[in-house]
Amino acid sequence: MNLKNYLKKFLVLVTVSLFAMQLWAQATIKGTVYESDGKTPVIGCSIMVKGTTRGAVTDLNGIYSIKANEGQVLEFTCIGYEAKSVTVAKQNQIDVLLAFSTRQLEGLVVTALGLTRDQKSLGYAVTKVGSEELTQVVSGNWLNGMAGKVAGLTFSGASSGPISSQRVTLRGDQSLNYGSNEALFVVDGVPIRSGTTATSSSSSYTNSGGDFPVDFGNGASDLNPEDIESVSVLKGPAATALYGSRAANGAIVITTKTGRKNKGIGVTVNSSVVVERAGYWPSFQTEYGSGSDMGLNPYNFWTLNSDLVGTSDFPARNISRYAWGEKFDANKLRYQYEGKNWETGKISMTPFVYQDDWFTGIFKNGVTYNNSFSINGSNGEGTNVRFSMADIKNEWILPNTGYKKQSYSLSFESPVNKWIKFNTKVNYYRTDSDNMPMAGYHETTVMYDLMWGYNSNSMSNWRDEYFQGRFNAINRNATISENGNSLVFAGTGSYNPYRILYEELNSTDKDRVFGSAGLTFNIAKGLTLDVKSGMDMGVEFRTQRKPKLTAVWNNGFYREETLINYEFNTDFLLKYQKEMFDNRLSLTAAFGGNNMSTKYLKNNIQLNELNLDGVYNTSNVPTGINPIPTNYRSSKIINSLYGLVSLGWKDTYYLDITGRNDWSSTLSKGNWSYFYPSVAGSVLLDKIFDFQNNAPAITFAKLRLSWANVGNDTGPYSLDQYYSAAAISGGYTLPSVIPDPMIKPENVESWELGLETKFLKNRLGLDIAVYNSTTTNQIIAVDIDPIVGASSMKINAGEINNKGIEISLNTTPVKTKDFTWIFNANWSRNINKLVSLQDGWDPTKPLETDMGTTIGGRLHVYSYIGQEMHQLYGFAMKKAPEGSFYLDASGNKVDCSGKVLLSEQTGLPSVVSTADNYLGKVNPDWRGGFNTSLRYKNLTLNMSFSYQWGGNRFSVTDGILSYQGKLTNSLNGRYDGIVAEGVNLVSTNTDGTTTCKVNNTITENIYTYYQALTLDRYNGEAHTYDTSFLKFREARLEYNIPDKLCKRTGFLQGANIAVFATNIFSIDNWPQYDPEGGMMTGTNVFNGIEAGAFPMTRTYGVNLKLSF
Amino acid sequence: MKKLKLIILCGFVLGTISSCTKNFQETNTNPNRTIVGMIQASNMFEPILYNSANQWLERTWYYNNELIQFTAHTGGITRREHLYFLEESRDWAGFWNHYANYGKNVDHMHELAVEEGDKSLEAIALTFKVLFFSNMTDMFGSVPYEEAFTGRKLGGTLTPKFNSQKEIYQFMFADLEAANTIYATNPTFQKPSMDGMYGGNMALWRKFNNSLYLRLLCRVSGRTEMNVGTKMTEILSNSTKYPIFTSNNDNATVKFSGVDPYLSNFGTTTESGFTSSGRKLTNQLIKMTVQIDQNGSQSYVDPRLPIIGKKNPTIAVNPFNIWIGTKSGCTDQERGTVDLGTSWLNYLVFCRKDAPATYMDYAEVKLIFAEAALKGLISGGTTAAKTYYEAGVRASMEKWSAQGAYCVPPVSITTANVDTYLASPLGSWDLATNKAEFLGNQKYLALFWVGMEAYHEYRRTGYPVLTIGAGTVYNDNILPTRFGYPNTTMSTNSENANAALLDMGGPNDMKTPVWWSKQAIK
Repeated sequence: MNLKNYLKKFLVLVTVSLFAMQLWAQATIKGTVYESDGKTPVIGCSIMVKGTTRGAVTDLNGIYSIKANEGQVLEFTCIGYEAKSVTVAKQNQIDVLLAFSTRQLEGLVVTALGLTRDQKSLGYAVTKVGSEELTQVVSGNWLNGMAGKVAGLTFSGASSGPISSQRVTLRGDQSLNYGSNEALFVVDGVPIRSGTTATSSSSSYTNSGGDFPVDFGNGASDLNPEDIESVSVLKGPAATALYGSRAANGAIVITTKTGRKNKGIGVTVNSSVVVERAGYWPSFQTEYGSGSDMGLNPYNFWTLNSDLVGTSDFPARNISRYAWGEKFDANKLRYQYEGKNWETGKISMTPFVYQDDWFTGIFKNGVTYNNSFSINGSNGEGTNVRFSMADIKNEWILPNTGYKKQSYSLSFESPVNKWIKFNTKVNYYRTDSDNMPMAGYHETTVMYDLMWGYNSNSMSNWRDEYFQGRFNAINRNATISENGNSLVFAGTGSYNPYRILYEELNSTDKDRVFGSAGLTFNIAKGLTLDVKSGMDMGVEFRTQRKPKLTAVWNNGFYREETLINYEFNTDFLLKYQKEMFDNRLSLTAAFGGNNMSTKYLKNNIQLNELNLDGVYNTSNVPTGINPIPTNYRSSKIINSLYGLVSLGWKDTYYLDITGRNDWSSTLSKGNWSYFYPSVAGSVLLDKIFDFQNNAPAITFAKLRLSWANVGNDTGPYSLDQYYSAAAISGGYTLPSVIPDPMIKPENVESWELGLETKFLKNRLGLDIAVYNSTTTNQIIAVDIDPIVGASSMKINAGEINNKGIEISLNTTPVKTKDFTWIFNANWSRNINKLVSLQDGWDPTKPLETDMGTTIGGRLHVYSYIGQEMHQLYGFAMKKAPEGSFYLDASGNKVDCSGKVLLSEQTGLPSVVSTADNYLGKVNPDWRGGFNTSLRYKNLTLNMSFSYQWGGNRFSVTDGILSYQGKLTNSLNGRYDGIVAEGVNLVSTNTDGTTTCKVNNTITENIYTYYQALTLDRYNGEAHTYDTSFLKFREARLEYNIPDKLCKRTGFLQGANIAVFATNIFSIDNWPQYDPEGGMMTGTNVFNGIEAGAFPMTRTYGVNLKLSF
Repeated sequence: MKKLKLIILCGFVLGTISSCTKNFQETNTNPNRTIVGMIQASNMFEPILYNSANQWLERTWYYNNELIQFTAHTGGITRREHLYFLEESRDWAGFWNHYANYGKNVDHMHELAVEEGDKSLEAIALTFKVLFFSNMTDMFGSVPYEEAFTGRKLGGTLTPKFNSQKEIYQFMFADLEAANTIYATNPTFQKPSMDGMYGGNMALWRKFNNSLYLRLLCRVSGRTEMNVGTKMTEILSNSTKYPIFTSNNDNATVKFSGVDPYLSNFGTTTESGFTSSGRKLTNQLIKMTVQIDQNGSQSYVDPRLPIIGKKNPTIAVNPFNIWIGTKSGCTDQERGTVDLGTSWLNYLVFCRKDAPATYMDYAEVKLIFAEAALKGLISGGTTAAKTYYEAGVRASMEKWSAQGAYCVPPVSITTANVDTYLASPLGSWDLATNKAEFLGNQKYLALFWVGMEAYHEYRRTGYPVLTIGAGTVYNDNILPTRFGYPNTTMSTNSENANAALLDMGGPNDMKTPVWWSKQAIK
């Protein structure tokens, strides 16, 4: 499809429709809408002229104005208030008092299949997040704005770059296939790709191999938050039964903005600038310099001779990337890197001092410019249109990184005739970047280089070395030759962070279109038919470049990759609504069907060596080396039919029954079809017990209960055994996975019970939900012993259970004309348990789901049958066994089981021999967030916080920096030795007890004590930290310029200026950066391990929004 | 109007239902891959030959050299194999999966070859099968043999029974006999250009098959019930029925062309990644290859050492330009000092895109006979042993001499050089007091860079006598006697695996001796 033409046509259409709008000359009615007290204005009250599509909305002072003729009826409606109608007499001022409503408390939410439902009638949990909450702070990924705002919604990222991908899950992981636990994203009724996109399937921690995931942002991050009208979070499968199996993990249903309902044209311009600064640094020690001999010999960077230094009295080379060297002292002069005169080659001494910027110096202020524009219009007769554009430019915190994004979005709705209405939405997104940096711990990442830097060298040394051309083959091998040395460390790989940022580039160029077009037929009273087609198509071109002399890729590397994703959905929905028996029974019945087809294509060409250095195209390959193509394509069809019956009795009792049948092409012939039902019911307790009269403080109370059973299919081509192609042409090897051709669909069964209450005229609201869901018949590739002929087998096996509770509280403690204070909070707890695995699995053996769950076998994230999933195991110090004691001064036995055992001779502890010590569980006990909004007249202050309790994570960054002696945790006793806390073993007694004594030995070998033992990089116990935190995520101070002032300009309708900041503080025990997140492996983010994450950033921004 | 709409609607709905599974089978047909069974046996051959040869090199470098003290990674603590830090997930499972993976592909090649009537590949598959299985059982002890690889076939098992090592050796001997019989018919290798080892020459494959037989006989020679002597004598006396290696030209050496994808494992590895940043030659190796005179200076070196090794060129740390070995198994405290000025592996010899990989060589055959003669398994006694020994060393020297061409400046080992060596205290048979130990030591040197052989042979003979460092705490200062079964095996086939452990008489660790080992026999 030619996109340009398509866009052009629509622009023409917009213009035409805007011109087509006519103007009427009618009387203008003005007035103010108050609450029943006659003082407090009602903001956002909608006023419609009955029988027309003309409408208006009250402003912050409750004032409205609307054109209407005498005799016409004005309808005033506002969520939370009783509706009111007033007939226009010969007057031009109508002030109205609205009474609080006991109905329509929460208004409408968008549920599955785009059905707009009254929230009170729902038998399952839906949480709505308004657009204002999402667009407050825009930088990086808009999904960040939702964190902490919805109970049970979990985001995890890996701090992996400018658009740090977020893994979005609801109510815990349901599937053993880690990658298929993410919630489904639906935009205007069309499911879209939301998952993480990354190259390479390896993890962000590797010892070998040189292919590392680069985070190109997840699919959902493409959306322009300015276009979002609202987000409904559908949590349980009951909410999503109708979206099909893909929504078994819950759904995030996004509605984008459409044109205005009332006549006229509006233009909004929004501009923001956000500055981003890296922070939350590790606690660096500043007292001791580079070295690995505890300062025994003076530091000396160079291999010297008398010609170079002009004296024969010079020390031997003594350099290390560790910081176990001499004490810093400005009076000590040492031969350091910076002491070399690069013109004469002479080397002189410079003061040996700590360089503040050795680690942090590479980071700069990141800036994001975001400019957007939208125009919307309506002719007042049902035709409306909205067009928006946004332009985002990001320069990230590392030099030469960042991205550019443009988005265009068009929405158009128009009646074709009396019965038929047409609507369409088209979005076009473009993202491109010359360089998305690689995160993680590996010689080709910047964070690795920083961790292994010298704390006595300024970052400017690295910068100069790179920009002055001293990164070259001679210097690279110079650590051992007589040519002189450079900062480039000729270890197993060599690097310079600036070279990585300026030459090892990862580019992306992504175009994506998604949208839908549909017709609504009003067939008869209450009977409508919706027919809709939607498409999501993305084309992405990526390159990865590495020049020669890159770690692992000694001869260079180049890869280019084209990815095409295509998803097409066509559906229809026939809907019938009727009120019966004197309006006591309300009935909604719907029947629909969907055809979904997806296609995926990936073309990848990789050069493992380059011919000419720095030239990147697929033909630049040396003789004797072949480019490696890897192509893959797949397709899949799911057809579905579904139905819904929804009954309401006297506005008090509600019952929803849904059923859906899917036919999936991925299953075997006999299993193509599978059916799944759901039932949800709710009762309004306030009606039954007449709280309005009996307990007026309780405004509303609803009890809800739902049950659902959802099926799920598998990936394409899972039924046969296929050869893997070998690098040798014509060569084949057997696959590592063998399938079960009779595989059955998966099954998720869930229950949810909820109580929703409102008190004190909606000033206080409380929603509690408990749920229990069990996934069985999982289609998983279970490990089998390779000696049977394959290493895994795709079968139906395993059971996972998730149980949890979610509580949300919404309060408005103060609400007056001038001052409003809103406070919302939520809390949730989820227990994710592994109930069973395949038949015959020995339950004493753990399940290790993925390579993303281990650090080279030194640390594991294990799941044991019958226990909560994802627990950390690793190395630890040897401890006094159970039943150990020592005798205190007065001869009493003191229990000392579990204390660290230290050698009486050396004072040194020792490490257990296998990495199977329990270190803590990954998932937190509970998490949540709270936010508050304070409004005084035109000034609003919003603040949001999130928190988590329990949960643990292993930090590679902490391990690497600690064992190198670069952090303050290795200062104690550096030169004098310490008496470590612990006990010495005296004797093992026949009764099974152990006699110990309190350690008094001075540990003199501090280097071994810290570097090899207590702070060893693989000591899981030492580098696993509690991830409890309280984060002040956002603050935003906003000023709405008074309407009077705006009006005075003659063209301005509204203006708003805001300043904001994110990540203002975080209270936690995490040693550096962000307590949240995990490690990226392929396209997944695995929690429990942090490996070379980028620093957490604080952002500061200013935003100006003008409406015309 | 209304009715018409309803009719259209109903038609639409019915149409949808009837087309619910249209094109499903076509859609779910994989366009990317070939279904198993659709290829020829020869399509399996090259990946097995070349990839396993590269794996061979990798494992030699990574594990064998470190365990058996050819090298020690003392230039840092990233690698601790020389401290016996060997883990389930990376190391045990790594070995297990390696053998199982090649085993299954060989099994499939055999299956296809039998189906097609391709006799040459049928025999080669059997030889390869024994090569992989012998290494697997030597690393782990009892493993599934009879019931291995049936899981992917109809009616197969996912919980195969383990065979004892004795049974496996008997099965392997039968397989080698079967292969030898097929080779004897001189079948045609369809595409000789594919065969990067023997160019499709069945006579050479047959020699490899029987030499491998000899290697395995030698391995179990401590078990009298295996009657090794009789078979060895038969092989020795009937070279028509059992042709074996007769020169280095017969070596089972995979020759990489150096043209992608036929690249040797370390073809693009840097010197620092390969050796200079961590893996250094050890005291043990230097001690056995360098002769020290009364003044303590290095007066004579094994001519092979300057080919496989390289002295540290940095004057600051190696001012006298001598061979310095590091201390395998050193403690953390010792690490900084023992590594200073140590010698490296010769990057120029090993890190070439066309560097060869050897499964087995001629020298080994001669040294097997030397030991057999010395022990009386074959006739000839000490005199014959000496002859065999000297021929073995000559073969080994000759093999490395060819590689010496890649040194800068090139090094070659002449006949005179070998004579000198055989007369020197390092290589003289007559000067050796303990002949068995001397032979063990010489075999150890000759097995350098040949798979895991030096490690296997150490466990069988106890030679060379290694100094186990104080830093080898990760297996309680015991050189691993075997590798443990990986978790997947223990958790999915626990009944059979535990029965095997019970039979071997120890827990699933690295301290239980394997059946043919010195420790198990005494």
